[in-house]
Amino acid sequence: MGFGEAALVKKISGHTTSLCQVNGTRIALNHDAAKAILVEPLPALGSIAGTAGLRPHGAAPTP
Amino acid sequence: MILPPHISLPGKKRSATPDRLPVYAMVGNPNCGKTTLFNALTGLRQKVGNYPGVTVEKKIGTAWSQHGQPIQIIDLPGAYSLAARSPDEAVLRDVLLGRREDTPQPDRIICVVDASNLERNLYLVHQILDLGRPLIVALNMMDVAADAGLQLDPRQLEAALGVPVIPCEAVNGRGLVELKLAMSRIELPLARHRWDVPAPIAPAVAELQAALTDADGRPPLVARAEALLLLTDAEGVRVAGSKALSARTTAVLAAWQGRWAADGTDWSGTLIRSRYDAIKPLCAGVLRHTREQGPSVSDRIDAILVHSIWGWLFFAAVMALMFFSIFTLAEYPMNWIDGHMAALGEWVKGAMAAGDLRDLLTDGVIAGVGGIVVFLPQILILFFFVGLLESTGYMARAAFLMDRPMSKVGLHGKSFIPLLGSYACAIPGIMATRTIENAKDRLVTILVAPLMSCSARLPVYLLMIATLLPSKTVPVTTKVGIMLLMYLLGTSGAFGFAWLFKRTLFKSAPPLMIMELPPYQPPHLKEILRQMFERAWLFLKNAGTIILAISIVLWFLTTFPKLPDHAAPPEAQIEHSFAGQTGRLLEPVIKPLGFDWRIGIGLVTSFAAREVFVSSMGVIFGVESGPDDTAPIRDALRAARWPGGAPLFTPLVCFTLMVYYVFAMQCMSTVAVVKRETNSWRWPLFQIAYMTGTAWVVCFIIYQTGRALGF
Repeated sequence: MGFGEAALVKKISGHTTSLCQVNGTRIALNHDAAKAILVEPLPALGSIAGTAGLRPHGAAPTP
Repeated sequence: MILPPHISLPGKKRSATPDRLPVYAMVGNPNCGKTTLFNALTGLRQKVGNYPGVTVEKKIGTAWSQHGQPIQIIDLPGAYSLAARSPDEAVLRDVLLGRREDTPQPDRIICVVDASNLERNLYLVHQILDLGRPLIVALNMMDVAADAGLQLDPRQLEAALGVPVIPCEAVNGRGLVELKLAMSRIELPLARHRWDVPAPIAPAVAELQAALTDADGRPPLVARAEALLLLTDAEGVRVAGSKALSARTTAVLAAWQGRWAADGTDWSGTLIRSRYDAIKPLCAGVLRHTREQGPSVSDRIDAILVHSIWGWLFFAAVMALMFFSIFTLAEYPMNWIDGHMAALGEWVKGAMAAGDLRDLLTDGVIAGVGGIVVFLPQILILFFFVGLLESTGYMARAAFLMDRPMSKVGLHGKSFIPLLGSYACAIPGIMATRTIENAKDRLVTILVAPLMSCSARLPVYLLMIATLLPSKTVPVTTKVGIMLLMYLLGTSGAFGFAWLFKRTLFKSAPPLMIMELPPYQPPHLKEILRQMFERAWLFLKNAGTIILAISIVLWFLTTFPKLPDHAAPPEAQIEHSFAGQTGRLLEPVIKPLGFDWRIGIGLVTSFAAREVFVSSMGVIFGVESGPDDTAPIRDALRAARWPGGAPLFTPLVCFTLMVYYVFAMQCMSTVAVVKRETNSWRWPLFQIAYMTGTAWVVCFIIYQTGRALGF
């Protein structure tokens, strides 16, 4: 659904159920689905609120 | 033309010649405009049914070739990949791989691609290319892509894939002629695009491919595609009608999985990544961003409609409008149907000589079928709203908003609409569960939907409240309060049982909701009406047959055996009938609830429909009364006595009876629809048992506690 490696994810709204923008598509994720996706903030884009990148598979999780 | 041998099953050669045009399968991601394109190509020439053994709609339509010859198209469910996560996706996978015995493997495939989301859509295209079937790519939603600042080069994509790529806009009818021309071609080129399976995985693919070819009879290319799929998605959903894998293939797969598990490397992930690696250069060569992508119209609308305050207000307004329409607008056609069914019954009575055949037709067939046809306007209105919400793209937003409260009882946000619709009638509510992909969530929603107080319970509530509080001095708010209490009890029961079922019978991991929110679109009224009437016809055809049978059985039970005295009053006849005898048989069971055999007859006859309880009471107590004027029945009920002289309908009994109707499964039409939607008698019978069992236990507690407290 677009949650590929290095895809940019922008969280638009929501708390328990989140609304994200990935590759131009809006995707709703509930809490359990969101927990299954490894995401880490990108330093270069850290200044853009809510923007993060998907961490490559196998890399160590960000604390 | 004779198709290459590797794309036909041995012994089932389906060559495409000018005399025997090929069968197309139409596939694509959800929300890519596949169904709109299917409808645009086939018009009204569609057959809708179910795949045997599984509640997934099977749609077959006929389009016309360039030379005026019919082309059959199977519209397969939408999926992001062939890795099945729901019964719909499993059907898609099984049909394409030739695993279903009830559906022949299609000769050719049309893959509909959302041009505004090329990379994601090409994943499914890429998997389908592996099958080696002749393929046409319909590059749909070109207008949406242009609006988003994307410029695509279909010729470049065609050159890269080696298959026809037709740009189109199904909504506006653009590109349809070109697509039909491509479909009319006697020969279609086979894909040139190749991708390299990572070297360490190649031996597993080769061994599994050999097993599938030799032991499962798959053509070599289909076997390779299936091998790749099994190695990335061995745990895919299985549905009824799907051929099982041979023991040899299963053993080979298990052996490789064991080796990979011991190795500790995620080879499945590697396989998926290598496919994306092959897709990326395709997109790079075809796609160009003409401008920086700003917020789209959908983004701006979403800023309000999924807002934490405005979003909920809009949602409440939409639901209120839907609810209002179901209850008020439907009333006029419902009264019209009711009046005409009654007039038809009267006409038959006048036209035929008195006798059992006339009674069967009027009291069994016309009254029974009329009793369900009368709900058709409510069903149509609910499906109109469901279609409208889906067509505009708002349904996904409603599910997003409702996911949080529904998840508290383990349900998906999409369960909300069916449950809300069940306040009008459980039948359309249960039919609306088809939008829920997860089979367990859908089944739980079906099981609890009849607990929502439907409109058929209203006459019973009104009669009991009138009997309970006959005085005009009682404030209306008290009566309304009791009514609301019944609605609250039903709703709490539905959510409580959903919570219980999700933790016991249907225990599973919390539902993972990953749902695409499609761009907003103007509603396609023609499509909505088509879908609305298709569903209504399916309901009348399938549920109607079962309802007709049960109506005849109920008529038989209330008519036979006959009293020797033909001039006996109806109350004496019903007491003498099998239904009356059943009422007496039931008395020991229902007496602890404060009910006697006459109420027992009402419980038996109102299995046809809950509101029949009121007319049954009228017959049993010898009172003529219309549905709008319950006063004569109310007075008769208040005068009713136990043999010892104690009043039968005490306030406690009236209240207990209302609670019984809140929980008990007293609707044969719902039973018929649940049987149809679950493809089994197991679930409707379970539903009768758990709902009626709960009703008895709750009523027993209420009545016995009330008695102990002196009521």
